[in-house]
Amino acid sequence: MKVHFERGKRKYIFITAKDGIPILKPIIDQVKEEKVPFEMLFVNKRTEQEIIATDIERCLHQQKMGTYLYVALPWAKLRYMNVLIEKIGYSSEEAQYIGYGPRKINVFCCRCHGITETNEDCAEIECKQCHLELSISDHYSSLRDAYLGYVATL
Amino acid sequence: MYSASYQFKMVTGTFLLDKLFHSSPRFYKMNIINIQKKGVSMKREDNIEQFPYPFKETIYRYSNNSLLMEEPNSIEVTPTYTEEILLKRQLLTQHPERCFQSLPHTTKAQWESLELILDHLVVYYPNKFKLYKNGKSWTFHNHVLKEKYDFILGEESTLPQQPLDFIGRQVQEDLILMGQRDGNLYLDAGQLCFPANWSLAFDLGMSFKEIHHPIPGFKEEGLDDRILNFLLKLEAGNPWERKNWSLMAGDRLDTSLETFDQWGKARKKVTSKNTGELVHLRVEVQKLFRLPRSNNILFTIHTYLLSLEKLANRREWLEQFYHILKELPPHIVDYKGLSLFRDAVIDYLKVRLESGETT
Repeated sequence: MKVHFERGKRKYIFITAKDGIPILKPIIDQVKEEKVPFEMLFVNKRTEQEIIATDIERCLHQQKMGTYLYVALPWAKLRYMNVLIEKIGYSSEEAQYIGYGPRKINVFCCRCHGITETNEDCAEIECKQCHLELSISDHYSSLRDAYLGYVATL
Repeated sequence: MYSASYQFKMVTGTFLLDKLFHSSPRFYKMNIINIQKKGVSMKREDNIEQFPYPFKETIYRYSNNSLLMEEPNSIEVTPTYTEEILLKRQLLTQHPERCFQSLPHTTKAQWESLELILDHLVVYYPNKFKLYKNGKSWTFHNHVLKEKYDFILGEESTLPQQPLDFIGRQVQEDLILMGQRDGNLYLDAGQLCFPANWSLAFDLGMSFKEIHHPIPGFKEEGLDDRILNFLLKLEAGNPWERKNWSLMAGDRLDTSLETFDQWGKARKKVTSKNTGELVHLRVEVQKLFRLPRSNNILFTIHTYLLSLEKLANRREWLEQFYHILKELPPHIVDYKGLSLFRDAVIDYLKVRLESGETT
């Protein structure tokens, strides 16, 4: 997933884990070169969600307008962080989210509206609730946090 | 408080409708049972005179084909009103989450939609509908179905359903509310009983472009941007109208994505012998109204069906539609669900053209 440098911000905050550092390094280097203030917040594998919520929330609440966030985390933690950050009040224009590693996706069954979790690279699955064979599309709903599964075979 | 001059009873799985104007309860019970037995398909009486034929050219491409409305009427009451309203209400009762969705912030816009549609019902069909206002205490009479509703404008507890759902049960149109914010449009609420193969439950909350993401070719040459910009500038008092079309196997109104595994199979059953009777041109007349108080846009969608057999009776339609289908690019053929029976349809239209059998 490509990261781009969002120039002209008063401060940058990088929220990442060990494996995310190489992804963010080019941006961090640019920020250092431009001598803009920045802060690093680390999330390690053993960090519980409650700790993430408390520490990061505290930090983000204290920031002034014009602060820009880069969040590079494993997919499983990224969604949680996205929701948290939006709840604090940062808009989608004030942050970039970069996921890495194996990714699970949700599939919305076109027939029963049930949600079935599967791997990202899956093309077809069986709905867990109504057992309809679904073909996974790229039509995504952020409200349902799921991709639409169409009838695979008539 | 809400009151009604009819009652629905569940009697061994059937609906019994009392006090129906011009019908005995026994006659109407038989009609309800017929609707129940056939599922959501009913034998339609195609009305060619009222059919909103959608084509002007012999080539069809996606475009902003909206026209300024001469008569600012959001709804049409047609001869199939009663059957379609009953079907709608049946679907809403049996499949509420499929047919009605709303986000919490839409109450104001829903009431505004209700007011607009009620006004149009009583202005354009004064013999069928009446509305009495005593301050905020309103009484609405639906004389077609012999129903009366008393409610307080703005107080949801005085209606049997949310305002958009309530007024949607009085009209044949599907109703979609698009909220305008941050330079974009979002599907905030809708009552959708007769969709052309899409899901309100899935699309709820999506932006304009997200909703139309599955349509191949829609983003080409910035068409999606142009249509979105057009809609964002819609003005109150200047409603627009457009038509959307598809071909379907069967005459079922409820062609929701949720039931595709049922009605979609009919596509495989089209043969050269049954094309005229089985395949129907499906047209949606969509009307777009800016609601001045909430700044939302109300889409009303009225669906019409006409069998190819009847369409082919009009020579000018037959010729034009034949040319359109022959020329239609593969991505549009595919998206409109025509792939399985396009050749059969073209062959049928060609035979009718060559035979010269038209009215």
